[in-house]
Amino acid sequence: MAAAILGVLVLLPLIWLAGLAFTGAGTVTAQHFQEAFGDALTRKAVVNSIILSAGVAIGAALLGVPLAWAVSRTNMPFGNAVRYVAVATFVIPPYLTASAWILLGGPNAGRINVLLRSLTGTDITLFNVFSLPGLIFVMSLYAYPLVFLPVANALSELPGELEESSQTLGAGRLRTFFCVTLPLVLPAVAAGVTLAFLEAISEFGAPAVLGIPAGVTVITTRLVAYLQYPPELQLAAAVSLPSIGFVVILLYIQRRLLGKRGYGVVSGGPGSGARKVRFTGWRRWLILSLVLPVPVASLALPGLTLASAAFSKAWGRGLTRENITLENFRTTLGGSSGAMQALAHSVELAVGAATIATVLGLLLAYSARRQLLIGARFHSTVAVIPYALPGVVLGIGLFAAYTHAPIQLYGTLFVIVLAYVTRTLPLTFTVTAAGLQQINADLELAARTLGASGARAATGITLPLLGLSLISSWILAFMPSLSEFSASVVLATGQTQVASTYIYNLEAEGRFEEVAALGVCMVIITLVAFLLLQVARSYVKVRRD
Amino acid sequence: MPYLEARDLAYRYGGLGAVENINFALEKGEFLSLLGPSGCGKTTTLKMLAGFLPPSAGEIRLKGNVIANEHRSVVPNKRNMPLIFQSYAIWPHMTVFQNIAYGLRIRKVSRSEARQRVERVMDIVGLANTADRYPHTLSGGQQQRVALARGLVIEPDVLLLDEPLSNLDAALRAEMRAELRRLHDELRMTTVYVTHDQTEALMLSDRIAVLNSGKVEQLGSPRDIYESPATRFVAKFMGNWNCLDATIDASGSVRLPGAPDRTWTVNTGARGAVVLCVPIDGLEICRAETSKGANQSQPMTGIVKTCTYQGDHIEHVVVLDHSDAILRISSPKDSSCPAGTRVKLSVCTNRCVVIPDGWRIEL
Repeated sequence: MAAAILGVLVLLPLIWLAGLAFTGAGTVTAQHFQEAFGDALTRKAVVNSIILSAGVAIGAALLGVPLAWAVSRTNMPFGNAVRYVAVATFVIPPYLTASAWILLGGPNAGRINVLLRSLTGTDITLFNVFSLPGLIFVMSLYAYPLVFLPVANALSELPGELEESSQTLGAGRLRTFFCVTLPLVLPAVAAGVTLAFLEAISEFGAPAVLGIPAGVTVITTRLVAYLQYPPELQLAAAVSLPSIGFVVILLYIQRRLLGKRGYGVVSGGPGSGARKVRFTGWRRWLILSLVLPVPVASLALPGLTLASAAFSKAWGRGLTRENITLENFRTTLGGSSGAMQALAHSVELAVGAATIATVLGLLLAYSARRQLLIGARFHSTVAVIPYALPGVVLGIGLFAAYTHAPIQLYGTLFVIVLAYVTRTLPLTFTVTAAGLQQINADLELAARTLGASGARAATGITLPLLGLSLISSWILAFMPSLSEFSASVVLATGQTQVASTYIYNLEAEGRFEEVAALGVCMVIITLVAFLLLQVARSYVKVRRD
Repeated sequence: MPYLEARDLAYRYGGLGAVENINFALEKGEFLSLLGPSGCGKTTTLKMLAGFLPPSAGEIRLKGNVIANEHRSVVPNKRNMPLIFQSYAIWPHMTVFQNIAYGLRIRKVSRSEARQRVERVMDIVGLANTADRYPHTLSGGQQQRVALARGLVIEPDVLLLDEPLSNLDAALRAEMRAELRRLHDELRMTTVYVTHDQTEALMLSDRIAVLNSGKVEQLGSPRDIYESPATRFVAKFMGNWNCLDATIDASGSVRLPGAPDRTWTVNTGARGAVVLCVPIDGLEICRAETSKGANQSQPMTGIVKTCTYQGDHIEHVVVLDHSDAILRISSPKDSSCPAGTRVKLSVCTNRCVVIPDGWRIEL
């Protein structure tokens, strides 16, 4: 049963991709690869993707590492708030961030350029987001939490004794930093940087919004271009396969690096927390002001820009009294436009996908952890494969698998649910498995010896204890599904528009006020889910300790 | 007819913890300890009794009925044999009362009766006034009592305990040990208790089975196990013996390798190569130059290697002359001999135990 579900969700699209890429005219052939990579535009897209991803990885490290140090190793004020803001960055999906940056950094009417011109009295264009560097800048701001969060955790979990031992043995502060601190957090830095690279290479939204108008093509946008009429599915498959391989290698490296982090926490007993550098008086605030631009530019600036555009008649004129309006919400959410329908689709799909993925994740994790399935390890591995599938590639796989008889699902909402479930299954599986790991198997066995049947022990003991994990799993699956774009762009049709694809169409028509209004609605829904999660977590924490 | 019986019980999968030929028969109300080092198979045996592992061979009988053999094994929830885990396995989402009442709820005992029974058992184990508290607000000792109460309240046929005291600190462990003894004296519950701690086993048990590498080395009363070990392993594991390789000649004289002839005579029928077990408190130590012990025909002599103050006694480690044998000697606090001292040793021969070499007790 579980095997069949995993097969349909994960393996079938992959098999179709491979089939399409390697066969032509009834025989096995490498012709599609030759044709795809013989195309100069595709080769350029590969080069651009690598430059973009490397740039984002470096940018995320430059932003994330100093911020991590300031938050976890100094007495900078509002450190915890900065952490929350970093997590909340993901609340605004990248295509919306990118749209906001058009309003901020567009060459002609962008707020920043307008402001600079009026300040300097010249007509220079300092900043142009419609360029590869602009794209790197915007995506680095989006991806920095991927470096910041693991490094901040590693730094604050580092037992102070490790550094103090070095000092008692005669090493100075600087030497201690380079010989003890840095090597211990380097794996976390490297893992985060790899993750940022992966995020950049798989991302479709921001490169579509900013790259396509600038004529900068990357692999994901090239893949989607292959699907436009007339669709060249074989070529898309031929480009997809090597990208999967590349991502798998990167993920493997990332796992190895994170695995190594284990030695950071090897210690004899319960160590005391990390030692902080204590700044006094105004110096604390100086540190804050030095790092503040990062959360401001990544969350506050795009967030406020979107919000103000959503309430404006024309975004360029600013929030003056005569420019304020609710008309955008009326237009987008009114019955006549497709926006309401698209948003409703997204909510329905996200609720459905989150529910299915959570139940599947629970069944798989329970069977794997309690050794109920033959080949439990194999199932666990297959369940996390979709991590390595860029959304566009998964979309193409599902497109290929379900456009034919007998299972013609393309054009239905069902195929989109399949995509979301597949994309979020690794998440729900991992979260639930980690939750189960925390629950001693003895708890269930004790119930058995007191007379409870296997089913009663599982539902009466383990399930309630797993509550928080299940809520986390559901919300963590709901949030990305609500704003999912890269698989949706391949699978959504005129009748099955979702919020992200609808926003993309509005954006292409330059209707930024409506983009912003719809975006605000999405962000509010996501934010509510995000806050629910935080509340659930703190509630359970209070009850347990 | 024995109350709980294991006959030729074996579990052969999974390397470490496999067991073979486990045999015992308990009367109702008896307390049996399975004692041995980690990996000896004591927990495997307990899990077969609880019903979590099916036997590969042999059978388990409760009140004469087979509850497990190689073909079928009654599921744990139909055995009425609650297992108290090392981790306590208290359910954190239930109050103390809910935890203890769980088994009664499953048995569909009426609310009022359940309340009475839970309150009674809470009194017995010393948990009064904690009914509405959550487990995380309890101390380790109290959590242990909840686990016990949860098992006792269902009036089990057999109570199974898996190293229940090993997570407690030394003082609390001593307290809970005494508490378990009191409970058993009071309730006479048939109990199988797994432990690696000799003191626990000696204090609590009616009988002890010492396990090693999946086999029972000796089954007997605490006094049997402590004072007449049947094998070298039991002697070493109980820790109160020096085990020396020795030979006994036709006339019954003991000879240690490299030591002078006919060191002393012990009362045994065994001849040839043997293991000579000398209790660590059955040796008297004195300086070689004193005349004490000179009346003994040929006293053992040696050199003190270490001399350690242990509070209520002093432990000497002595290397015997003409031999590489090393003896641990527990002596009164007034007889300290510093390291390097030449000493004479006199042996309390009637307390020595001779184990014929290669001989294993058959049960």
